[in-house]
Amino acid sequence: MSPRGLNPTLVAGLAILGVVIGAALFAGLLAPYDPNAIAPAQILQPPSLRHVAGTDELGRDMFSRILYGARPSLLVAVAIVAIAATGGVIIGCASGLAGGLADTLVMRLVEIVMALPGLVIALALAAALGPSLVNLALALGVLGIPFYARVARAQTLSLRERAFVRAARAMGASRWFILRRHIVPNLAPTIVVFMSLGLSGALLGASALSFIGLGAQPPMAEWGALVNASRSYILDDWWYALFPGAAVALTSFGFTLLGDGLRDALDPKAGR
Amino acid sequence: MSGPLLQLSGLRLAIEGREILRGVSLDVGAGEIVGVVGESGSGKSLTALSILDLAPPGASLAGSIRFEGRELVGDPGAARRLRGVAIGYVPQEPMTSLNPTLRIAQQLTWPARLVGGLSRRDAHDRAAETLRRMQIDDPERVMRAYPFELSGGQRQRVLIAQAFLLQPKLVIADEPTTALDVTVQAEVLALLQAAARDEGAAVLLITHNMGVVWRVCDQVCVMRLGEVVERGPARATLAAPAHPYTRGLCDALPERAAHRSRILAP
Amino acid sequence: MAAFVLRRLGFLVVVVLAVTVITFLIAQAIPGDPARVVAGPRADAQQLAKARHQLGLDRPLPVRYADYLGRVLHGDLGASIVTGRPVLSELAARAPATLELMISALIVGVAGGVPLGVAAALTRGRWPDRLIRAGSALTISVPAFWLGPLLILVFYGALQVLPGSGRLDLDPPPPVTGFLLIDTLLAGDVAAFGDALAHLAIPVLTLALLDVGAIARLVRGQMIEVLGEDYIRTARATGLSEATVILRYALRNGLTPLVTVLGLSIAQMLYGSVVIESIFAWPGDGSYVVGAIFNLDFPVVLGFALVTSVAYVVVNLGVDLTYLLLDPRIREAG
Repeated sequence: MSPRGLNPTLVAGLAILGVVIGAALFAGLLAPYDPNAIAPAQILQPPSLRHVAGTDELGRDMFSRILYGARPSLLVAVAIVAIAATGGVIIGCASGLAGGLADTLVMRLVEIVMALPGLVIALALAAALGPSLVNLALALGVLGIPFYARVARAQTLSLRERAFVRAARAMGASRWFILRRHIVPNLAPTIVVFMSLGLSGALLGASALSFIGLGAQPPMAEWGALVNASRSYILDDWWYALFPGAAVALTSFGFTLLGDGLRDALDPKAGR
Repeated sequence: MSGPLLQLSGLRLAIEGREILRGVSLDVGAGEIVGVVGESGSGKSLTALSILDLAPPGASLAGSIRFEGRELVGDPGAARRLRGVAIGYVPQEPMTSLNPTLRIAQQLTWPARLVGGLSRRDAHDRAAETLRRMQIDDPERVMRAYPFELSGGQRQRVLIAQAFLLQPKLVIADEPTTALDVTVQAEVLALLQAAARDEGAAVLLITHNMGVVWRVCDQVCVMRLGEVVERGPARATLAAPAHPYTRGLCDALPERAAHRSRILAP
Repeated sequence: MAAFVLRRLGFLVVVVLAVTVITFLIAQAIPGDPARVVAGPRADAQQLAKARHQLGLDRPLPVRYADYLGRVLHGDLGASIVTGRPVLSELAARAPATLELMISALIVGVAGGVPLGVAAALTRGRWPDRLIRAGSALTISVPAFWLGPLLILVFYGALQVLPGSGRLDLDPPPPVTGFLLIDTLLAGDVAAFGDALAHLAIPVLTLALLDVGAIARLVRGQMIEVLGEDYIRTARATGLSEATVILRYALRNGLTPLVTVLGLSIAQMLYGSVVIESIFAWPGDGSYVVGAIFNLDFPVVLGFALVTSVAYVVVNLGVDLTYLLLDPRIREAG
C-alpha cells in the first residue's frame, strides 16, 4: 500500500483535532476561570468579553467548562475504540489463523452480537449498573469488538493465502511471527481508518448517553452532560446548549474527516 | 466511399498529463482482419477504446480517427452514435463484462430494441439467431440464464454475439481469447473469423499473442510504448520483420522457433 | 433458496434467545435484593431466606432463566414498578408514536439521501460531489441532541413557524391505528392532520438529516464502484445511451446494498428515538424508557431492550430476504 500523501480532507481533520486535543491537554493554561467556580452574581450570562461562551445556572464560565470537558469526552471515545479495536483485532486474527471449528464458533458468536442493537443493550446495561462514564466506556467498547473482529478476520483470511505468507510458512515461520510481521502491518491501515471513523461514532454515542443522564455525572463537564444540563434553559439561554453541542459536533467532524482523509491517502483508488 | 474503413493518424492520448499514446497510425480496410499486437502497457487496449470514446474519464485525445471518412476526434457524439450499430466491441474479460444481475436475454435485447430500433419480437429472434451463429446450441436456454450460470467460453460467445448483433461494419475485439482456456481459445478465434467473414465485417483484433496474428489476421500492427513500430501484411511481416522489436517478439513464437530449429538441425 | 431462508430463520431464533439471555443477565446485575424488599428492612436471616424461597430466588440460575423465557414467550414481560400495569401493554400503547416518527424519518432520509448519493457519484471529483461529501460528513458528525434543540430554537423560538414539542395541540382524532397522520385523515379532520404534520416536522427533520448523510455516502460509494465495473463499459459499447446505462444498469446494481443501509438506519433510529423523544417531549416508547430509567423501573427498561432488540433482528431478517429477491446470485448460492 503506497500512501498517496496528504490531501485536503486529511489536513482539515488533523487541524480540527489538533485544536481539540490542544484544548484538552492545555485546558489548565487556556481556561480563564476555574470550571467549578460558582459565582451567584453571574448566573446565565450571555456571551460577552468576560465570558466568551456565557455562564451556566450556577455562574460557572462555560468556556472553561467546555475546555475542561474535552478531556473526559475525548478519553471516553478513545477508550471505547481502543477496547473495541484491540479486542476485535486479537479475536479476529486469532480466529482467522486458527481456522476450523474454533473459527466457525467464534464467527457465529460475532454474528450474533452484531445482530443486536448495541446501543439499546448499552442503555439497559448502563441503567442496571448505574450511570458512570467508566461503565459506559466498557459497555460500548465491548459491543464494538465484533465489528473489528470481522474486519480483522477477513483481512487475515485473505492475507493468509497470499504468496508471501505461504512462503513464510513454508520456511517454517511460527504463526506468531507471521502475525506480527506480515498480517498486522497489512491490516493496520484498514483498522486505523475504521478506528478514526469509530471515534466519531463513539463520541456521539457516549455523549448521547450522557445527555440522557447515563454517563458522566455532575460536576464533570463532559460535553453531553453539559447539553443535558442546558435543557431547561434552552429557549432563553441559547448559548448554554449551543457551545458544548458544537464542541461535540466539531470534534466528531474532525474524526470523520480524519478517517476519510486517511482512507483516501492509503487507497487512492477508493475515493469514497 | 474511398479509402479505408477506419483510419487512425497520429493519435495521441494523455491521461492526467501522462502521455500514453504517442502518435498511433493504422488503417483497417473493409472486411479486413487487422491485428494490433504488443506487450502489456503498449497502449493497444486504449487505442481500441479511444475509437469508441470509451477511454477513462480525464483522458484527452488529439490527432485523427476517421471512420468511413468522418472525423471522430473532437466530436464525441459521433463516436457514441456509431457504438453498436456501426462499430461493435468485444471486451476481454468474460467474467466481469456481463451484468451479473440481468439475464442474458435482456442484455442482448435491450441494445437491439433501444439502439437498433427492433421490436420486442424481432429483437428476441435476432438475439437467438446471433447466438446460434456463435455456435451456442441452445440459445433459448442461454438467454434465460444469468451470466454466472454460463462457462467462460459461453460468456465470451455471448459477448461476441452482442458485438455482432446489429451487424456493424467493424468489430473491435480486445484480447477476446486471453482469459479463456487454451482449448476454447482456438474455437472462439475461429468463430470470430467466420462471423466476420459471413457478415462482411472488418475486425480490429487486439492481442499480445503473435500466434493469433499469424493464424487469423490479414494485416498486423506492432505497438510498443504508445507507438506503432511496424505495420504490414500479417504473415509477410512476421516472417521477415524489419523492426528489431518485432523481431524480438517473433523470436518468442514457438512455431518460428520450431521452424528455425528444423533449419539449423544438421 | 429454501435452505437459505431456513438458515436465516434458525439464526433469528438463536439471536432472539441470545437477547433474552442478555436481558436476563442484566436483570441479575441490578443492585438491590428483591428478597429484602419483600421481607422488609428489619427481617432477620431466616425471614430473608424464606422470602428468597418464596420468590424463587434460591433456585439455580438456568432454572430461573427457563422460567423467565417461558414468561416472555407468553408475552409476560413483568409489570411496571411505577404503574403496576404489564410492561408489554405500556410499550404497545406508546409504540405508534415512536413508529410514526421513525418511519417518517426513514422515508425522508432515503428520499433525500439516495438522489444525493447518485448525484455525487455521477459528478465525481467535481464541485457537486465535493459539496455533497462535505455535507454528508458534517451531518453524520452532528449529534441529535444538539441539532434538535437548535432546530427548535430556529423554527419555534425564532421564526415561530413550527411547534416545538408534543404530537398535537388540537383535539386528537378517535384512535384507530395510533398513527396520527392516518387517524386524522380517517376522521376527515384536516386541521388536525395539518397540526400533526407540523408537530412531526422538526423531529423528523432532525432524525432524517442525520440519516441523509449516511445514506448519501453509502449510495455514492456503491454507485462509484458499480460505474467502474467492466459491464458498464460493455453496456456503453453496445450503443445504449448514458441515461439508460445509469438508470437500468448502474442504479439497479448500486442500490442493492441500500437495503442494508435501511437495516442500519433502523438501528440508529431505535436508539436515536430515545434521544429525540426526550428532546421533543414526544410521547413514545423512547421518552417512556428514559423516564423509566430514572424511576428505576427496571422491568420497563429491560422489556424495552428485549422488544426493540427482537424487532431489530426481525427487520434485519426482512432485509436479508429482500436481498434474495434482488440479487439472483444469492438465490443460487443458497
